[in-house]
Amino acid sequence: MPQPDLDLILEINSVGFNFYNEIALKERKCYTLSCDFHLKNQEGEIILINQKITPLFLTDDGKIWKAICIVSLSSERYSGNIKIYKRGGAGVFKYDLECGIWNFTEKLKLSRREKEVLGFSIRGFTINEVARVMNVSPDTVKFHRKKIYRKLGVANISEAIVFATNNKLI
Amino acid sequence: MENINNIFSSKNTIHTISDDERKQTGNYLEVIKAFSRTIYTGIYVIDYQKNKFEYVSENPLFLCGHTAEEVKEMGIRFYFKNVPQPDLDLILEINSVGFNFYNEIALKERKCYTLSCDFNLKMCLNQIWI
Repeated sequence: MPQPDLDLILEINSVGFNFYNEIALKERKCYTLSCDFHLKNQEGEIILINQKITPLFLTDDGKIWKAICIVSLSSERYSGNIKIYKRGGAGVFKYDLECGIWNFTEKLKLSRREKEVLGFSIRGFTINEVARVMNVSPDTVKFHRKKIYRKLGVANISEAIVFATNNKLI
Repeated sequence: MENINNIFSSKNTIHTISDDERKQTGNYLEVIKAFSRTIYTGIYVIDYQKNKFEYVSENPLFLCGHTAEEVKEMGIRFYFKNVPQPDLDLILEINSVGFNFYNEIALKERKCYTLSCDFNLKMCLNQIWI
Protein backbone atom coordinates (compact mmCIF):
# COMPACT_ATOMS: atom_id res chain seq x y z
CA MET A 1 0.00 0.00 0.00
CA PRO A 2 1.39 3.47 -0.90
CA GLN A 3 2.39 5.56 2.17
CA PRO A 4 -0.26 8.34 1.96
CA ASP A 5 -2.99 5.73 1.88
CA LEU A 6 -1.41 3.83 4.75
CA ASP A 7 -1.76 6.99 6.84
CA LEU A 8 -5.33 7.30 5.58
CA ILE A 9 -6.13 3.75 6.68
CA LEU A 10 -4.78 4.40 10.16
CA GLU A 11 -6.99 7.47 10.40
CA ILE A 12 -10.04 5.58 9.10
CA ASN A 13 -9.36 2.86 11.63
CA SER A 14 -9.17 5.38 14.45
CA VAL A 15 -12.25 7.49 13.56
CA GLY A 16 -14.16 4.33 12.61
CA PHE A 17 -13.65 2.83 16.08
CA ASN A 18 -14.53 6.16 17.72
CA PHE A 19 -17.84 6.11 15.83
CA TYR A 20 -18.40 2.43 16.56
CA ASN A 21 -17.87 2.81 20.29
CA GLU A 22 -20.71 5.34 20.46
CA ILE A 23 -23.25 2.89 18.99
CA ALA A 24 -25.66 1.11 21.35
CA LEU A 25 -24.45 -2.45 21.96
CA LYS A 26 -27.40 -4.25 20.38
CA GLU A 27 -27.18 -2.16 17.17
CA ARG A 28 -23.47 -2.57 16.52
CA LYS A 29 -23.90 -5.30 13.96
CA CYS A 30 -26.20 -3.13 11.84
CA TYR A 31 -23.36 -0.90 10.66
CA THR A 32 -20.97 -1.12 7.71
CA LEU A 33 -17.96 1.08 7.01
CA SER A 34 -16.96 1.71 3.40
CA CYS A 35 -13.80 3.41 2.10
CA ASP A 36 -11.51 3.50 -0.92
CA PHE A 37 -7.74 3.15 -0.98
CA HIS A 38 -4.89 2.27 -3.34
CA LEU A 39 -3.17 -1.08 -3.51
CA LYS A 40 -0.01 -2.00 -5.39
CA ASN A 41 -0.47 -5.26 -7.27
CA GLN A 42 2.24 -7.80 -8.14
CA GLU A 43 3.15 -5.93 -11.33
CA GLY A 44 3.70 -2.76 -9.29
CA GLU A 45 0.61 -1.13 -10.77
CA ILE A 46 -1.54 0.91 -8.43
CA ILE A 47 -5.26 0.18 -8.33
CA LEU A 48 -8.04 1.85 -6.36
CA ILE A 49 -10.22 -0.55 -4.43
CA ASN A 50 -13.33 -0.21 -2.31
CA GLN A 51 -13.51 -2.01 1.00
CA LYS A 52 -16.60 -2.59 3.10
CA ILE A 53 -16.28 -3.94 6.60
CA THR A 54 -19.01 -5.06 9.02
CA PRO A 55 -18.85 -6.82 12.40
CA LEU A 56 -19.56 -10.55 12.30
CA PHE A 57 -19.20 -11.68 15.93
CA LEU A 58 -18.94 -9.42 18.98
CA THR A 59 -17.58 -9.97 22.46
CA ASP A 60 -20.05 -9.62 25.33
CA ASP A 61 -18.85 -6.06 25.90
CA GLY A 62 -19.42 -5.15 22.24
CA LYS A 63 -15.93 -5.28 20.80
CA ILE A 64 -15.54 -6.66 17.30
CA TRP A 65 -14.27 -10.23 17.60
CA LYS A 66 -14.51 -11.11 13.92
CA ALA A 67 -15.38 -8.89 10.94
CA ILE A 68 -16.11 -9.51 7.27
CA CYS A 69 -14.39 -7.38 4.62
CA ILE A 70 -15.62 -7.18 1.03
CA VAL A 71 -13.15 -5.82 -1.50
CA SER A 72 -14.04 -4.71 -5.03
CA LEU A 73 -12.78 -2.26 -7.67
CA SER A 74 -13.64 1.28 -6.62
CA SER A 75 -15.97 3.50 -8.64
CA GLU A 76 -14.36 6.63 -7.20
CA ARG A 77 -11.58 8.83 -8.60
CA TYR A 78 -9.58 9.20 -5.37
CA SER A 79 -9.00 7.38 -2.11
CA GLY A 80 -10.94 8.25 1.05
CA ASN A 81 -14.75 8.42 0.69
CA ILE A 82 -15.23 7.18 4.25
CA LYS A 83 -18.87 6.29 4.75
CA ILE A 84 -20.84 4.43 7.40
CA TYR A 85 -24.18 2.84 6.56
CA LYS A 86 -26.78 1.46 8.91
CA ARG A 87 -28.83 -1.54 7.75
CA GLY A 88 -32.21 -0.20 6.60
CA GLY A 89 -31.10 3.32 7.52
CA ALA A 90 -32.33 6.47 5.79
CA GLY A 91 -28.91 7.87 5.09
CA VAL A 92 -25.17 7.66 5.29
CA PHE A 93 -22.56 9.18 7.61
CA LYS A 94 -19.68 10.64 5.59
CA TYR A 95 -16.43 11.53 7.28
CA ASP A 96 -14.93 14.92 6.43
CA LEU A 97 -11.16 14.36 6.65
CA GLU A 98 -10.32 18.09 6.71
CA CYS A 99 -12.73 19.08 9.46
CA GLY A 100 -12.53 15.77 11.29
CA ILE A 101 -16.32 15.38 11.60
CA TRP A 102 -19.04 12.99 10.46
CA ASN A 103 -21.84 14.50 8.35
CA PHE A 104 -25.16 12.75 7.89
CA THR A 105 -26.71 12.88 4.42
CA GLU A 106 -29.94 11.35 3.16
CA LYS A 107 -29.48 8.23 1.09
CA LEU A 108 -29.54 8.82 -2.66
CA LYS A 109 -32.77 7.54 -4.17
CA LEU A 110 -33.33 6.52 -7.76
CA SER A 111 -36.83 6.69 -9.25
CA ARG A 112 -38.47 3.55 -10.61
CA ARG A 113 -37.77 4.71 -14.19
CA GLU A 114 -34.12 5.42 -13.38
CA LYS A 115 -33.74 1.98 -11.84
CA GLU A 116 -35.32 0.47 -14.95
CA VAL A 117 -32.85 2.29 -17.22
CA LEU A 118 -29.92 1.14 -15.07
CA GLY A 119 -31.29 -2.40 -14.94
CA PHE A 120 -31.47 -2.68 -18.73
CA SER A 121 -28.06 -1.03 -19.10
CA ILE A 122 -26.53 -3.69 -16.85
CA ARG A 123 -27.85 -6.20 -19.39
CA GLY A 124 -26.01 -4.38 -22.17
CA PHE A 125 -29.06 -2.77 -23.82
CA THR A 126 -28.27 0.26 -26.04
CA ILE A 127 -30.25 3.49 -25.65
CA ASN A 128 -32.50 2.49 -28.56
CA GLU A 129 -33.10 -0.99 -27.11
CA VAL A 130 -33.93 0.44 -23.68
CA ALA A 131 -36.34 2.87 -25.35
CA ARG A 132 -38.07 0.00 -27.17
CA VAL A 133 -38.59 -2.22 -24.11
CA MET A 134 -39.68 0.71 -21.93
CA ASN A 135 -41.97 1.98 -24.68
CA VAL A 136 -40.54 5.50 -24.60
CA SER A 137 -38.45 7.60 -27.02
CA PRO A 138 -34.64 7.39 -27.08
CA ASP A 139 -34.58 11.04 -25.94
CA THR A 140 -36.52 10.08 -22.82
CA VAL A 141 -33.96 7.37 -22.05
CA LYS A 142 -31.16 9.92 -22.54
CA PHE A 143 -33.02 12.29 -20.20
CA HIS A 144 -33.22 9.58 -17.49
CA ARG A 145 -29.55 8.73 -17.98
CA LYS A 146 -28.51 12.38 -17.53
CA LYS A 147 -30.58 12.60 -14.36
CA ILE A 148 -28.87 9.45 -13.03
CA TYR A 149 -25.41 10.87 -13.84
CA ARG A 150 -26.25 14.12 -12.05
CA LYS A 151 -27.65 12.37 -8.98
CA LEU A 152 -24.71 10.00 -8.64
CA GLY A 153 -22.04 12.51 -9.71
CA VAL A 154 -20.75 10.25 -12.49
CA ALA A 155 -19.92 10.81 -16.17
CA ASN A 156 -21.18 7.72 -18.00
CA ILE A 157 -23.36 4.64 -17.75
CA SER A 158 -20.63 2.21 -16.74
CA GLU A 159 -19.58 4.44 -13.82
CA ALA A 160 -23.25 4.77 -12.89
CA ILE A 161 -23.67 0.98 -12.78
CA VAL A 162 -20.64 0.45 -10.55
CA PHE A 163 -21.62 3.35 -8.29
CA ALA A 164 -25.20 2.09 -7.96
CA THR A 165 -24.11 -1.45 -7.09
CA ASN A 166 -21.33 -0.34 -4.71
CA ASN A 167 -23.80 1.93 -2.93
CA LYS A 168 -26.71 -0.53 -2.91
CA LEU A 169 -28.98 1.77 -4.91
CA ILE A 170 -30.51 -1.00 -7.04
CA MET B 1 5.54 -2.91 13.14
CA GLU B 2 4.27 0.28 14.72
CA ASN B 3 1.74 0.59 11.90
CA ILE B 4 0.57 -2.95 12.36
CA ASN B 5 -0.12 -2.31 16.01
CA ASN B 6 -2.05 0.81 15.10
CA ILE B 7 -4.32 -1.14 12.75
CA PHE B 8 -5.21 -3.52 15.52
CA SER B 9 -6.54 -0.58 17.47
CA SER B 10 -6.19 -0.40 21.24
CA LYS B 11 -9.86 0.58 21.17
CA ASN B 12 -10.67 -2.98 20.19
CA THR B 13 -8.16 -5.06 22.15
CA ILE B 14 -9.56 -8.48 23.07
CA HIS B 15 -7.62 -10.66 25.48
CA THR B 16 -9.79 -13.75 25.79
CA ILE B 17 -12.94 -15.18 24.26
CA SER B 18 -15.33 -16.94 26.65
CA ASP B 19 -17.03 -20.24 25.84
CA ASP B 20 -20.36 -18.42 25.49
CA GLU B 21 -18.87 -15.93 23.06
CA ARG B 22 -17.36 -18.78 21.05
CA LYS B 23 -20.80 -20.39 20.70
CA GLN B 24 -21.79 -17.59 18.30
CA THR B 25 -19.73 -19.22 15.55
CA GLY B 26 -22.26 -22.08 15.47
CA ASN B 27 -24.85 -19.71 14.00
CA TYR B 28 -23.86 -19.72 10.35
CA LEU B 29 -26.68 -17.35 9.37
CA GLU B 30 -24.76 -14.53 11.06
CA VAL B 31 -22.13 -14.88 8.35
CA ILE B 32 -24.73 -14.63 5.61
CA LYS B 33 -26.33 -11.60 7.25
CA ALA B 34 -22.91 -9.92 7.34
CA PHE B 35 -22.54 -10.57 3.59
CA SER B 36 -25.97 -9.17 2.90
CA ARG B 37 -25.05 -5.95 4.75
CA THR B 38 -22.01 -5.43 2.56
CA ILE B 39 -23.02 -6.49 -0.95
CA TYR B 40 -25.89 -5.27 -3.12
CA THR B 41 -27.10 -8.64 -4.39
CA GLY B 42 -29.97 -10.56 -2.79
CA ILE B 43 -29.10 -13.73 -0.87
CA TYR B 44 -31.41 -16.55 0.18
CA VAL B 45 -30.81 -19.96 1.71
CA ILE B 46 -32.79 -23.04 0.66
CA ASP B 47 -33.23 -25.89 3.15
CA TYR B 48 -33.97 -29.00 1.07
CA GLN B 49 -34.73 -31.11 4.12
CA LYS B 50 -37.53 -28.80 5.23
CA ASN B 51 -38.33 -27.62 1.69
CA LYS B 52 -38.22 -24.08 3.00
CA PHE B 53 -36.30 -20.87 2.64
CA GLU B 54 -34.19 -20.62 5.79
CA TYR B 55 -33.11 -17.04 5.17
CA VAL B 56 -34.06 -14.23 2.76
CA SER B 57 -32.02 -11.01 2.66
CA GLU B 58 -33.67 -7.61 2.69
CA ASN B 59 -32.29 -6.47 -0.66
CA PRO B 60 -35.45 -5.52 -2.62
CA LEU B 61 -34.11 -6.83 -5.94
CA PHE B 62 -35.61 -10.26 -5.43
CA LEU B 63 -38.61 -9.51 -3.23
CA CYS B 64 -41.18 -8.39 -5.87
CA GLY B 65 -42.78 -5.92 -3.47
CA HIS B 66 -42.93 -8.35 -0.52
CA THR B 67 -41.00 -8.10 2.73
CA ALA B 68 -38.10 -10.50 3.25
CA GLU B 69 -40.12 -12.22 5.99
CA GLU B 70 -43.09 -12.75 3.61
CA VAL B 71 -40.86 -14.29 0.94
CA LYS B 72 -39.29 -16.54 3.58
CA GLU B 73 -42.76 -17.72 4.64
CA MET B 74 -43.82 -18.29 1.02
CA GLY B 75 -40.76 -20.40 0.34
CA ILE B 76 -40.93 -22.33 -2.91
CA ARG B 77 -44.42 -20.87 -3.59
CA PHE B 78 -42.64 -17.57 -4.23
CA TYR B 79 -41.46 -18.89 -7.59
CA PHE B 80 -44.94 -20.01 -8.60
CA LYS B 81 -46.37 -16.61 -7.73
CA ASN B 82 -43.70 -14.36 -9.21
CA VAL B 83 -42.06 -16.18 -12.11
CA PRO B 84 -43.91 -15.94 -15.48
CA GLN B 85 -45.05 -19.34 -16.82
CA PRO B 86 -42.40 -19.89 -19.55
CA ASP B 87 -39.63 -19.17 -17.05
CA LEU B 88 -41.28 -21.35 -14.42
CA ASP B 89 -40.99 -24.26 -16.85
CA LEU B 90 -37.39 -23.19 -17.45
CA ILE B 91 -36.66 -23.21 -13.71
CA LEU B 92 -38.12 -26.67 -13.32
CA GLU B 93 -35.91 -27.89 -16.16
CA ILE B 94 -32.83 -26.15 -14.70
CA ASN B 95 -33.58 -27.79 -11.38
CA SER B 96 -33.85 -31.19 -13.01
CA VAL B 97 -30.75 -31.02 -15.24
CA GLY B 98 -28.83 -29.24 -12.47
CA PHE B 99 -29.39 -32.10 -10.06
CA ASN B 100 -28.59 -34.66 -12.75
CA PHE B 101 -25.24 -32.93 -13.24
CA TYR B 102 -24.67 -32.54 -9.51
CA ASN B 103 -25.29 -36.20 -8.77
CA GLU B 104 -22.48 -37.16 -11.14
CA ILE B 105 -19.90 -35.11 -9.22
CA ALA B 106 -17.54 -36.89 -6.81
CA LEU B 107 -18.73 -36.39 -3.25
CA LYS B 108 -15.71 -34.48 -2.03
CA GLU B 109 -15.89 -32.03 -4.96
CA ARG B 110 -19.59 -31.22 -4.70
CA LYS B 111 -19.08 -27.96 -2.83
CA CYS B 112 -16.73 -26.63 -5.53
CA TYR B 113 -19.53 -26.08 -8.04
CA THR B 114 -21.87 -23.14 -8.66
CA LEU B 115 -24.90 -23.09 -10.94
CA SER B 116 -25.78 -19.79 -12.61
CA CYS B 117 -28.93 -18.97 -14.61
CA ASP B 118 -31.16 -16.01 -15.54
CA PHE B 119 -34.93 -15.81 -15.29
CA ASN B 120 -37.65 -13.19 -15.26
CA LEU B 121 -39.55 -12.07 -12.18
CA LYS B 122 -42.88 -10.26 -12.16
CA MET B 123 -42.55 -6.96 -10.33
CA CYS B 124 -45.41 -5.59 -8.23
CA LEU B 125 -46.35 -3.18 -11.04
CA ASN B 126 -46.65 -5.90 -13.67
CA GLN B 127 -43.23 -5.15 -15.01
CA ILE B 128 -41.04 -7.98 -16.14
CA TRP B 129 -37.54 -7.81 -14.75
CA ILE B 130 -34.58 -10.07 -14.64
